[in-house]
Amino acid sequence: MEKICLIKAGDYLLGIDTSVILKKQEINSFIAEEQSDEISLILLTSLFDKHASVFPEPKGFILEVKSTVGSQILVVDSCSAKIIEPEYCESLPLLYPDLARICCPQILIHEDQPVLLLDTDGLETVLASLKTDFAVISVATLRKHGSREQKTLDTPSVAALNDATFNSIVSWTIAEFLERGSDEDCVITPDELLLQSIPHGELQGLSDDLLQGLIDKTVQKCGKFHNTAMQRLRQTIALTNS
Amino acid sequence: MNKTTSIDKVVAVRVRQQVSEDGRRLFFLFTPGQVEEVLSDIVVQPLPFAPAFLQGLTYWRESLLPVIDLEERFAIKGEENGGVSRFVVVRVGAMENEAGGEVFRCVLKLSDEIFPMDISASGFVVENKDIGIEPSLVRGTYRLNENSYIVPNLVYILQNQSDVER
Repeated sequence: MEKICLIKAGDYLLGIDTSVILKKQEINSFIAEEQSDEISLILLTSLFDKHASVFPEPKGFILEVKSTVGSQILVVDSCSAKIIEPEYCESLPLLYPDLARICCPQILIHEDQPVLLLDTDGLETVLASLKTDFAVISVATLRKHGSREQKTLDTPSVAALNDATFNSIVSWTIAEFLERGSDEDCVITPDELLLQSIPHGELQGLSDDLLQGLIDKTVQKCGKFHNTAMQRLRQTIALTNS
Repeated sequence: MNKTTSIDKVVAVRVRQQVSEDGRRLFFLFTPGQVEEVLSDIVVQPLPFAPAFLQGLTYWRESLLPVIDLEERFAIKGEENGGVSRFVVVRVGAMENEAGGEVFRCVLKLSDEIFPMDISASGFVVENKDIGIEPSLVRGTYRLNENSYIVPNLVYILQNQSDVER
């Protein structure tokens, strides 16, 4: 049996044969080193959830892996340093989505947990069969997302805000988010109306960074909520039509 | 509507569906022999590309079992869906293979209102359409004391691979 590296992509726990891994690197250092903006990356969580733009955790990894087309670069949330050597693999149980069967044809048990073994050739087949590239992004997009994440992480604490001010900012941001078509990539900046709604005394202690950081974080959460809700809706419609 | 003639022990599980105006509630029914274990918590490994009702896989007594949200599968998940859940390991049937026969099972995510009851002569068999559920998913439906009871067709649910694609 091969040596297996464990990776996490969203809620998915996956194993990948170390012999197909060409490169493993933290996203931040990959973004900093990579010169080209055009290289394509596969967001594994987006692909598996069939949903666009599920970006990895800020401390995520890229894995360059061998495949039938040469190589692919996968974006994942975490990558274990520990290599495991499973003794056996389980056969697939009943009820297994066909696409999952193609890209994860085997399951190994590690510490009493099922781990899906990722087949990179199968992954290529799945990408081709989906005929859409919603899970494929460029380095430029990842870079842009990374800088937004960093900005949010660097945001000073909102603990200093009183409840009324906090609620005003969040409510205004949600209203703006909805008005702009619930687009998680929309950039919202504070306008006069918002600033007028905040008591003068509070406004003085509110830095531009703190205000923008709170707005960005609210947009991010709204985007995630909206995506989840839309996904549930699509599943319900699919079930109703089946 | 036909009256049932025998008395059978069954296991009923309430569906977390909004109660109708007349107070009627909906339950799933299983035979006691089907229910192997009721678990309060399990580790579920989600499957890529799975529909909402297929929650993933779990490893139970050295077997990999699919975890199915039965309320979601029947598309009858109501507003109460945030309630406490139980994971019920059920025996679905047996498949013939070279070694003789293999029992196959699945884990059903259900509400925590699980209790034994009798389906007696006072129960009435009703048409599936009266309950408003896809006929292929059920083996039978009953009405008793103003409540409705569904016997899910687990063999169909577990073997109908086409429903797993989306």
